[in-house]
Amino acid sequence: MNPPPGRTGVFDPLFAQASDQQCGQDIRTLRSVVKAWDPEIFAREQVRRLVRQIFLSNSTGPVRQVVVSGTEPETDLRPVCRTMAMELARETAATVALVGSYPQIFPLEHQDQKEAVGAETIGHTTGTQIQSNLWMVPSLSSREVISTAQLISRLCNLRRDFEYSIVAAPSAGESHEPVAMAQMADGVILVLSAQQTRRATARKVKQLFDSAHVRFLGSILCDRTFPMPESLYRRL
Amino acid sequence: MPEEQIIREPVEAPTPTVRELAMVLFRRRNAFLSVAGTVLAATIFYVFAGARYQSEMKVLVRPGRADAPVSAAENAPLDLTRLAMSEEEINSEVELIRDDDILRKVVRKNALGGRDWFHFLRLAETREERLEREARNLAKKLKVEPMKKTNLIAVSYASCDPRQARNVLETLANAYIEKHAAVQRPSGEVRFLEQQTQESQRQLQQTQQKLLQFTAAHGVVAAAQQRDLALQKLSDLDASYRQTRVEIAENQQRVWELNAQLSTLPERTTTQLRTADNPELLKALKSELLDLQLKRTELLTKFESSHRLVREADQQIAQAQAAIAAESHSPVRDETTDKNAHYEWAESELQQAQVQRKGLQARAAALAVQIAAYRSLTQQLGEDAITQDDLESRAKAAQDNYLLYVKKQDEARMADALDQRGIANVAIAEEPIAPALPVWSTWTVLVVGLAASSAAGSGAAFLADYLDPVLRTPEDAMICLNSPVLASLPRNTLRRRLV
Repeated sequence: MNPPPGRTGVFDPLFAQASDQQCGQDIRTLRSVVKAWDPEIFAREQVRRLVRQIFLSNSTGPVRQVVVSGTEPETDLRPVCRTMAMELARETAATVALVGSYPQIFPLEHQDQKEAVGAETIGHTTGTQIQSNLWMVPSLSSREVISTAQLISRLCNLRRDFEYSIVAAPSAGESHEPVAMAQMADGVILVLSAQQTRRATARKVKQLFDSAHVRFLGSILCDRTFPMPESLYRRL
Repeated sequence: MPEEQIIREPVEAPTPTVRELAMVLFRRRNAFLSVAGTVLAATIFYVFAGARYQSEMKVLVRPGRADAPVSAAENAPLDLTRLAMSEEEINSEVELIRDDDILRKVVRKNALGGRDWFHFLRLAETREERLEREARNLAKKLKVEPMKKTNLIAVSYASCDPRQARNVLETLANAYIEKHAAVQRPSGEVRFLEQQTQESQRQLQQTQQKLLQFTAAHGVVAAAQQRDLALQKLSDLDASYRQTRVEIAENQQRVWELNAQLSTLPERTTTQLRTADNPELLKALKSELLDLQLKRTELLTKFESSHRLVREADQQIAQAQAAIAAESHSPVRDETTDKNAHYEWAESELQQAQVQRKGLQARAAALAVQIAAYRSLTQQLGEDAITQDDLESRAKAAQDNYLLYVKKQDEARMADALDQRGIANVAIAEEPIAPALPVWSTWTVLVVGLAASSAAGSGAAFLADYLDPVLRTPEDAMICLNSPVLASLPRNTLRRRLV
């Protein structure tokens, strides 16, 4: 389905929801098909597109290891990274590693990897298998302060041990780790919050990545709100 | 390179659509509703409590009557060349309407002002301060504008009370006309002219008194005319004197000539001269001659011619002949003489001339005396004439001044009377009335208020959105980072746990 000229139809919830089903149809017809808009479905569809575009598309070049970082510490990357990993695991048969801090899997009081529930070692990496091809790997620097060399080493291990890895990094505005990790990875995705992230902060973070010659894959805008009623939105 | 197409693709700010504009309003609905609600509330308040009633009036400014200008000229020409009012004159009237003095009068008479929302801030205000403040407020509310291409000035005033609006304009009109009359005419003109009239009258009396005194003192009524007459007389006398002198000279010459004539003229003239022969004598002589000749003949008969007796006879004959010749040549003149008429005439003329000369001399002497007298009189009269002319000219000037000021005074009084009766070059072409309807109808105000509230609310919403530093939409993120937005996730989604 082609979005209207000048518009990224992927951000139009109505278009996104029906895109898979109504490819090539007229917009009016499309709108008539869409009865109600489900934000959850829309979000997942957005993530699915992202996964396809980043990991599975030939146009972007081979991307196997992606660092996901936010601009503020308050931005929760976990749902995004989790959904990305799940969708990637669904889309491909390759092994996918989700690196991040997930207390329900890796409680904070048991950050020792060996004590995690269901933890197992894959190569040089210890993680918990969530799905057949999806592993959860604890955050690279969750408890201990590690050097950049160690960070790089762990990233290399991840690359070696898994086909794809999605690394949830700390806030790029407050830590240098995302930059270091992104330099080793195949690219970085910046997560922005529609309720919190300031333009200046986002611009500054991007400049950090650009100055470090990091491959900036794009950004994800989360916490979006749609104040306009759906009926009015449709009419306009 | 493909990745550069994705990552480095330049992003242009798209033209906002209606949907996006509407989204801004919904996103900033709090700001929109608060501002729009405030404006709408103000509109409703205005509808019920702030309706304005506007009263209007129009002032016509004409070139008007041409008052005589205040000048020293008796008949100062009226300026009749101005047939239309100039822009400067109309603007002057406009400013006159806005005069602070007039506004204060209006404020006082209509008791404008009073308690308002901020009266508690002016508890220490004096009466004058309040008056001035209200006058300034009135100046702001009063609209005075000249109407283009007309001689009309439109004046309008809006108030919550229609009757007050009308009363304000009525008071303004009256105050303006008074002020206009006062400034159009120089103040104190009548008084000034009265003073000048009295002064000129006093001067006139003085000069006339001096003239009378002079006339009485010098005994002249019209010195100039008398002088002229005296001059004429003097001229006549002089002419007579000269004539007399001429006659005297003529007479003298006549006398001389007459004397000369008398010296030459015989006293008696032969009136009749008869020359006749003396017949008896001639007869006698001739007889004698004859006798002699006879004697001679006789003698000759006797004697020789050389004889003494013959010679004597010849002598006697010769003598007789000579006597006869002489007698023939000297006839007997019977000369009758008489008095020579010419001589007599000349003598008579001479006597007349002599008598006449005496008369002429006496006449000349008398004329000389008269001439001297008249010359003196003329000189005196000349001086008197100069003085009298001077006095008369002063009196005339004083009289002219007096009459001029009297005329000007009358004109000034007439103009004042016309001004008092409102006969001026301004008139109220349209009287103010209390409007029955407000300036803006309720529906118009509501519609305008609704539109204004929408615009204000929208403006506030867009301003808030513009000033919001937070990224709200994927488009914002694209423009800000100049990179694509890979996903746009609604709030509170993707919260389902993995396990």
